[in-house]
Amino acid sequence: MEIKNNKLIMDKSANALGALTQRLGRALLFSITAIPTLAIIFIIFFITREALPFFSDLKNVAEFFTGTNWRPSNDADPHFGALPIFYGTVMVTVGSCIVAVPLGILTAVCLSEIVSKKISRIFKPVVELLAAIPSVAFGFFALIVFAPLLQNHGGIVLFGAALACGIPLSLIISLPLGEWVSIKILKLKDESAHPWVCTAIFVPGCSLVCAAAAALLNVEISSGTNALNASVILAIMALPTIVSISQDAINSVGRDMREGSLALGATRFETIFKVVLPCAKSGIAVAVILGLMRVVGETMVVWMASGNSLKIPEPFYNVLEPVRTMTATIAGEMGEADQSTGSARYHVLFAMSFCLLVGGLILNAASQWVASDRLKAKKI
Amino acid sequence: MEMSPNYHPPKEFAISAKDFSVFYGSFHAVKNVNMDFERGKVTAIIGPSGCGKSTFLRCINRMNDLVENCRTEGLLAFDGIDIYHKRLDVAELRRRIGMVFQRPNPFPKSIYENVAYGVRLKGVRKKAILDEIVENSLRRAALWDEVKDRLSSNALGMSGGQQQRLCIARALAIKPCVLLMDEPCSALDPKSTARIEDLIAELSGEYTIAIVTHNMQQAARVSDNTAFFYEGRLVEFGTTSQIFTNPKNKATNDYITGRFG
Amino acid sequence: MRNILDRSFTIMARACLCLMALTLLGFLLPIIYNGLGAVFFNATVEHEKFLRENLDYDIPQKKIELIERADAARAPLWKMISSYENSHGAAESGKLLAQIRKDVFASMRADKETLEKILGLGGRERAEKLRKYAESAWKIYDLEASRLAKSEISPFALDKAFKSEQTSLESDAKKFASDCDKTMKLGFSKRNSLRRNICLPPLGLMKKLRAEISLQNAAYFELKNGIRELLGPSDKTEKSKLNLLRQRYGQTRMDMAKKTLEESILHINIKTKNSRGAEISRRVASKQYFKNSAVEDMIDYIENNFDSMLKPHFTAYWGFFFDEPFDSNIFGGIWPMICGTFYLTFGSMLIAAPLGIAAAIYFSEYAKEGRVISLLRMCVGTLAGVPSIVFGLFGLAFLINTLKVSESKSVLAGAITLALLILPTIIRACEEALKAVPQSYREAALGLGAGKWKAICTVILPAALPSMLTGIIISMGRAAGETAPIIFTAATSIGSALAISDIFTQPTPALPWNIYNICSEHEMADRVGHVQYGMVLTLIGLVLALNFAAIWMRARLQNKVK
Repeated sequence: MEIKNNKLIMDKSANALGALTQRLGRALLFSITAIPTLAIIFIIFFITREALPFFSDLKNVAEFFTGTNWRPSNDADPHFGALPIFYGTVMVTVGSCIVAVPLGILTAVCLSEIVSKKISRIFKPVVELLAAIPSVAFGFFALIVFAPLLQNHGGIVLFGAALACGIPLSLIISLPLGEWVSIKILKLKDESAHPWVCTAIFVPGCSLVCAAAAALLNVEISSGTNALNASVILAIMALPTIVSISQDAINSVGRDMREGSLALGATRFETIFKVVLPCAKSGIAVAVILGLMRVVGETMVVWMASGNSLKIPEPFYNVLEPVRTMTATIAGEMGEADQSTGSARYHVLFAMSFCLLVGGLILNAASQWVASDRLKAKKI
Repeated sequence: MEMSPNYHPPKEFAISAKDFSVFYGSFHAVKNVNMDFERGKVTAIIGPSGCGKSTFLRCINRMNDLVENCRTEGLLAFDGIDIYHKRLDVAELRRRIGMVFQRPNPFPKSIYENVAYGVRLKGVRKKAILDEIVENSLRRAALWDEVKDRLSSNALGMSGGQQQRLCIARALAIKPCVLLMDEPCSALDPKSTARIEDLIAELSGEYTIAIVTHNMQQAARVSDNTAFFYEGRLVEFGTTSQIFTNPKNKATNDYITGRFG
Repeated sequence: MRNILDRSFTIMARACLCLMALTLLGFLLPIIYNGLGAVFFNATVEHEKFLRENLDYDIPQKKIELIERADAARAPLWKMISSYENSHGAAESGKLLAQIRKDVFASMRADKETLEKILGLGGRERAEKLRKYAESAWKIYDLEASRLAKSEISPFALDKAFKSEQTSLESDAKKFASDCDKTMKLGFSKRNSLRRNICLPPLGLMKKLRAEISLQNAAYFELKNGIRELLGPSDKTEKSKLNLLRQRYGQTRMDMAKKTLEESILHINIKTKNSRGAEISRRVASKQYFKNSAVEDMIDYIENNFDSMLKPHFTAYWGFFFDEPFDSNIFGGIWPMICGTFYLTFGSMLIAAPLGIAAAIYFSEYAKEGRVISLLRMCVGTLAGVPSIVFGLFGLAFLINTLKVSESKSVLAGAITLALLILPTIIRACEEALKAVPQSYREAALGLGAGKWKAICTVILPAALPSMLTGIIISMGRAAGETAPIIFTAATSIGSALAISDIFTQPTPALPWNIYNICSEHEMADRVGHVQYGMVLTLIGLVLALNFAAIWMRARLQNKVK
């Protein structure tokens, strides 16, 4: 090996073409990586640009957020009151969260802590498959199977649901409540009397639930496509997201914490609720936010199953009334509106999707903030 | 790419270090090392854990570039050329300096492909030539007889000792001038270790070999020169027989006699 | 105490798990069961006829025999119908009435003086006297007509006879009046008066009788419609006149045939007048309504020979997946939708996969931590959070209206929109795959003198490829099932399968959009129930197959590494 050879061969500039190709390649990769950034910038830009003609008129804005008369296609006297639509979105989202969040977290806890590894391994693909089912299939199910069920046998469904939710709920409530009552209020020292107090609370609670259920048995649901239908189906759609991400969060809580708690004599239930869940709470928060995002952005299920009526239900919590959401409005009215590009009804739909986009971005930012919080905490 | 006029590296030294230091962030891992690796000889680097031997070795073929916050000062020269010169083509450097790692790391490809990998990088395409090079390398690594009838099977299916010999064959296939070995036998059983030590003995003379090892007996067996590192400094450097029978430095003596390390 | 809590909690948690599993089952099972019914069902000979005549299927000899036997079984029914509609009794009664009519006119012609006297009177009195005269003159006729109406002759035939009598009466009255005018020199007004009033009674009776009959006939027509819905038209000439395909064939599926029998033949809707005289619709049992008439025999025949007229046989209609749809999906298959979904899925993968892999390589191998990289990563995460309908609107507003990648909707625009949707997921999955490649591979490759790009291409990328493929396949499943992005950019409700050359300019039917369409906006929703389920099953099957492939690949990969 002579020095002369080495000098020439190892000089980078001897291979200028190679170096140039390397630089170009890297630039190309960088520009490809920038595509998602460009995409999101363009999306925000375009939606805002098309929504601006509507928002620039303040009168429109006022009516949009507070008015209840939605008639954008009436050329003579158009109205853009979107309040019922916003309300519909909120109602359906809240409804599905009420069902999905407790159920999802409990299932995740069950899969991580309670059942054997084998069953847990079998369930993992089940949850993934549930997540993979397309939304239009859920919409189909809601419209063709669930809606007639609600319409024809509404009372029975509500009865069963009330019982299924009410009895466990009263059990959950009566046990700690009973304990608290017997310790703080009745000041009973004798441990064996506690179960009696709990029973004393549970029995009336249970009978209350049964009475409510019996009352529901007589309810006639006039239209099977309503907020309840959409909420339940959306809850089923959000469940896999919540379950799998919560499961990851719970699993990442170190083994040593569980062992430490159990070594101190805590039951499994107490370990879960007092040690594991608080530790995993930011991960579970991320899971819930992601489930929320899925629900808010969902189009097909609500379009097919929520009834698409423009009234705010009365009373405001009546889930048996049909409602309409933002996504369904956009999907339903855009086809016609595109024929008259530039008209008010074209721009109002973009205004609505602007609100939707803002909502989605806020939720996304929230989930990333919560997740990074968790990372910061871990580093400490 | 000339050196400073004050320093003319002797031609019989393949690698020379002058006041060479390595920093990980603010941690001074290797402190002002001055040593030369004799061409065609085996140089062993010994010392307790964490004394900077692997760090120093990995700088020779600039593998430490992969580590963030790694900074060097001083001069490290290969055949008279500053390794850290900004116009140096690192890939070319690495083609002339082969490395065998602590844990065997064959690619998830066939045995043939593993050995042929580096050769293909050089541009060799003809199958006849590749076959010849692969066979020669495997023979040199004392692996040919064991694998000659299963060259297309996956390399990950071999035992640890075989995998390490495959890595050696892979490194030899590109005909480097210098061979760096970072504790090559630490993950192997005694029998494989013995075979690899025989291999090192065979290869010396033709290759310049630098071997980092924990095992003093191994260093005593295979190397011509030995360097003793302690806490980032080169404490003593000399011929192996001199270091092991008559160390000049007290620390060296303590280490060799087993009082620490 | 705490133990009770613990145990009850355990029970409840397990119950939640069961609930989830039950939900999945309760969701999938009806779809699978009914969806399979789109392909495997009891078909009637109408199905075979349809396949033979519209899709050029080769019908095996056995089935041809079935068709012939079914036609033979139907022949008596057609005979019954035609004899009911064209009964001789009608002809005879018609002749009878005609004869009486002629006699009455003859007698009136003979009775000239009475006519002249009446015609000599003034306006209203004349009209009244004419009417009274006509009443007495036409009494026989009226009696005969009423008798006929109560007889066994089919109302259908009677209606025809009465109708022709009505026309004849009017023309005869006209002729009589003009004749009288010629002989008696009546003048315009008298002639008109004569013409109008001379046949008033019989005409009035005809109208009344016909009105009564028409109600019965309406019911008969309802029944006949039901028969036509069940069995199709009776002969070829009638068939060729019909425009809609659904009118040319009877029920192709046995379950629908049974439903038709129950709802359109054994029970019909009839119009009656309620107590206030308004017309209402009432549902009656046909056999009750048509008791003791020929129609009841027809219904009995249909009921008893139901199977032999339709010849149900179990068939596997694989053409459901490969045939074009006919007449709004009532017949045929769903091939254009499957084809469109394939185009969109593969198109979006072809766009998103290379971009995603390149971006993942940059993120994991080249990027140095810094503000720019954090920004890029955040944008990828943000893109994942955009609702899918906003993607659809963006595709419409930007790709189609602004960039004009195509004139209006097209597969290209839809594929680009879907690619944007799945890009973040692919980037994440590929980055994870690259991170999972052991660092030792990189070191070994670089140590042998490979340049960075060479090392990536020859060692790292192949090692990460199986995991990357898993992620890409799962994303493909998502793209296949998404509806909102393609509503405005690529999907149409009807159309035939696109040829590859058209995908840059033409829109296409696609499974998700057409499922929505067929469920919500379809006009014959009750007749295409099996198609709805079949489409949903196909879509779910497609997505699940992709996911299973990905899971299987991942499991194989894990075993291999061990």
